[in-house]
Amino acid sequence: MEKLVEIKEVSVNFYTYEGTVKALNRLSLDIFRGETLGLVGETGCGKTMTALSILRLIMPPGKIENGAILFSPKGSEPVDLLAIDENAIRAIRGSKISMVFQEPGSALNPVFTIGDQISEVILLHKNHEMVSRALSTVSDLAGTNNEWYAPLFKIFWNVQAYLLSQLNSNPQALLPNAVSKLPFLRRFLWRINDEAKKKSVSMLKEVEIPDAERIVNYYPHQLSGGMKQRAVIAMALACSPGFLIADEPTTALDVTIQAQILDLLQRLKDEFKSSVLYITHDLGVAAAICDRIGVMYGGNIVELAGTEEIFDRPLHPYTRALLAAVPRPGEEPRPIPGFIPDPLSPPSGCPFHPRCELAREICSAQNPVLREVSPGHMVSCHMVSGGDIASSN
Amino acid sequence: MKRFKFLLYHFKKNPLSIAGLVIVVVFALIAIFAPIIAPTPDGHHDPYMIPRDGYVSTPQPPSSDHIFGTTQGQYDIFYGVIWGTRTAFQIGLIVIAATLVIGLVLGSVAGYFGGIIDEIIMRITDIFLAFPPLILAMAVTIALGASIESVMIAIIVVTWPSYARVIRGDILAVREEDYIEASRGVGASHLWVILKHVIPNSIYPIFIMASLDIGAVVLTAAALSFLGLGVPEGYADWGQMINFARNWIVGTPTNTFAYWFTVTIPGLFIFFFVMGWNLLGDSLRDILDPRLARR
Amino acid sequence: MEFRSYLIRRLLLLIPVLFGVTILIFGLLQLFPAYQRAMLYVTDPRQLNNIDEIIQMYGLNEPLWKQYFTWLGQVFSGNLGWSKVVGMSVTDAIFNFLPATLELAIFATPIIIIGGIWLGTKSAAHKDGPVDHISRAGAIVGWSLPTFWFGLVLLMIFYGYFTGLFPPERLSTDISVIVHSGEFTRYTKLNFLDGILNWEWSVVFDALRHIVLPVITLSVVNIAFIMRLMRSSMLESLGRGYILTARAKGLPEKTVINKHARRNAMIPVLTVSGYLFAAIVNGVVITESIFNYKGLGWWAWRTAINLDVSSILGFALFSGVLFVLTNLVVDLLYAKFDPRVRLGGSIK
Repeated sequence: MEKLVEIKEVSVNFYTYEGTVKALNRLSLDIFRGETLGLVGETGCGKTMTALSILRLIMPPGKIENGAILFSPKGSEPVDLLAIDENAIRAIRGSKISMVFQEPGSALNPVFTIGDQISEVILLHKNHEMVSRALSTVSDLAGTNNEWYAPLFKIFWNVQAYLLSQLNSNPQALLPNAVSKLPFLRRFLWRINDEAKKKSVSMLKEVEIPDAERIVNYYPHQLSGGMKQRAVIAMALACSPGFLIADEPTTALDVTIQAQILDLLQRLKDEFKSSVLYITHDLGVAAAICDRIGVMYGGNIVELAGTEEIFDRPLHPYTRALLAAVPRPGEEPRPIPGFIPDPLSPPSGCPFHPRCELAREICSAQNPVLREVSPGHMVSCHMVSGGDIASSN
Repeated sequence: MKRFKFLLYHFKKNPLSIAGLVIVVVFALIAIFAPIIAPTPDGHHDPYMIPRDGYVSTPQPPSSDHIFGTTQGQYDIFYGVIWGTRTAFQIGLIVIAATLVIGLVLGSVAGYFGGIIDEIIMRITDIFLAFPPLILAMAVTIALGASIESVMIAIIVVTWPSYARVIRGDILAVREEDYIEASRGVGASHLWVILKHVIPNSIYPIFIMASLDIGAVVLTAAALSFLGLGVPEGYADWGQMINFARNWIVGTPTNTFAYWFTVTIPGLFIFFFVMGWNLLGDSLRDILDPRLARR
Repeated sequence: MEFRSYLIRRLLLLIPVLFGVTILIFGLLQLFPAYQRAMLYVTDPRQLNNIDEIIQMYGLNEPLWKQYFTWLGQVFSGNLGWSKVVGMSVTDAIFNFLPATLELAIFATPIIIIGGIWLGTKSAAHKDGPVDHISRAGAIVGWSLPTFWFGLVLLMIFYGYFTGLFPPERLSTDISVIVHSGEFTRYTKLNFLDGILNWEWSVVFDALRHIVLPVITLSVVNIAFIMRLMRSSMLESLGRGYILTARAKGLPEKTVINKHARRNAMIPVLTVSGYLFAAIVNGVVITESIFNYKGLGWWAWRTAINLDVSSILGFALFSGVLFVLTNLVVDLLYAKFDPRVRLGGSIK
């Protein structure tokens, strides 16, 4: 299969007053075209950091230390997202890779309408398309409208059409760009925003928001949590990105709403032919929608395999513990002993060894590498060999 | 104790807060040792009245007799600024203590009982807050007659409402918490609950905040004296010394800065005093309570 | 609908506060002896010889509540008493001195607001960088500067050292003659504006020259105040989820900061602009007294040191009412700025 994103040995450090926190420790991960890859793990294991480093959105005091993230959008050469300049990464954010966040309540800006916020990303990345749409609307109008009032408006339409055609042939054209910065005069270009708004409405319909024409003018606080998350998804998909990162998009929602949002994401993924990186701490959700699942612990992937494989034949002791900790009817859930390691002073060797039943001497001395133990099944554990886990003798 | 350690840790991290602390301590030492640094001349009755060397109007430049020179009316600047430090602390401490007591009583009564009592007290604070503070302070000062006590009362009148409001807000927040319900459940009286639970839990940060407002209080007091509304003439007070200097900002034709010392020296004393408290306050506010930092 | 009920509640709250303001002023009044209180009922200088009659006429020895209503009636009919310092009625004095102060405020307020917001934004955007350190240090210095001292130092340098570069008072003597001559029409009584309207550029230039130092004096402390507030508000806003969303959209950092973060950060700053009004009024009294700039603040200062009771209380009442109204406007603006207030709770 074709690789869409190839994360190679990426490390992320946070330099805090208390010391350096290794959020990601030489993490490598491939994401294939068209798949849904799930990342699961406890809080603080580095799931979100992985997502943010793909978009290069790690903010100080955090810093991406080394490694490369190769991104190969359809029909173009792979680019290293960590090496390109700021403008290039910005052109990718929101248009080719976009992200849905955990808290729809805080992900939307409270002082702008839903429509403004969706239009913003459209106008940023699809400006040219909006200009040409606006141009065709206004030319149609000027050409075909023969109502009695048409002559009155004709001059306006012609000015609009002229400015838009200038902008259409050259986005940097001096005159329309100057006009767009002047108060009042900039209204000649209102059709561009109008087209973006129409597109926003169609996106809201796409995410199954009822009465989209009205909701587009609402402010976030006027919507329920599920509606907000739909709006955020509409915003993320507005430029039909090839790759969508969803960071616990349903965690903050009610269970019934959660199911609807998951259905929606599934459908949209197929419709937009996107790949999805789905981050969750809920194994049930991951099982429902992911093709492959990566289990993270202590800033790295400890096990990566197809969804069925992970559930049927978990190899890493942590994955097994995680699965055993899921409450099931009729069974006592078994919590994982011990605590998440202190990020300031991670244990030596394998980060899981203090909590691991199988730990040996080598586990505290050496950090195991992620290796393929059977086709498509990767594990990093000293105790796993030949596609099976060493018995505890 | 853990809180204190946390405070100390963040405090040590920030060089500006240490600078603030040093400035404030130096001023405190000046105030304490004022009688030694600038001894009151024999036969001078009130140590807070600046001794004068004659009655000539024109200020005299620094000399061995008057190391900072003399200001208008031959008042000794050195003596004035040293004893003025005492005046500043006196005004600051008394005003803050009184403000706290009033704010504490009215704020906790309003916050704890709520309802009509709360409504009445809050409307009263509204009325006091309806005036630009300096204007109200001016009106109160002249109504009471110019004296250092009037200045203090005037500043108390304009500062207590905001304290009462903050304390009320905190009491409201604490009141909701479970342990208050619990102690009410076992039959504790209102007063007991306020004294034993509410006050210790919400007041501790406010105490620190309040003490840091000393800088602002002294600045207002100095402004009143500068306007000629505060202390009697000749009283050791920084604001008044600047008022003395206002006629001497333009020097002689040959030396335009001839009387620079009259305005600069007392001004720097106020400036550093206020800055010391502000530096200290800024960092402590950030550490203790981000909500108060915006006030 | 929610906004309308908010507005009504807000307007109703105004009544007890304004009522309380008059009671407070009246209470202060009681600290003065009757002959000083009598000044409040004087409307004409000739009455000054018959103070005893006034005391009788207005019942200044009668029970308090009676006096209060007599006084309130006078206030409502626009009579605030006689200002002996300037020899006109208090109401006239207020209208006479208002334009000068307005002129000062017209220049200072935008500088304070724009300067403070701009510096606060810059400082927060470059947190812990050199820009941030410099502007924070500047803010602490500005915040600690005694206005009255700072103004004098400015005068010492720009009037004393650079002889007469930026002089005190409102106009130079020769220009003042032009302004008060018959050919010059005082449309607004704002000197620089009248200068423009009369096409008399020497007046404009002179007015600006006199206003530079007062404006600087008035601005520095308040810029520091707004800047500190804006910075902390911006930092809070920059830590919010929607900022990450905005960055994930691919917006340039400039748009993220100036649009998404600042728009939200302005809301808390707006809520204190009522306080800013009070700070400017405070500053105006000190500034005008330093520069002998004959506006409301100068008048308030002169009346205060001359124990001109009716004037100082009249001014306090005037500024109190103005402040209450400013706070009303601020609250309404706040509602306008924050859709969460404007549109009330959720509709769902």
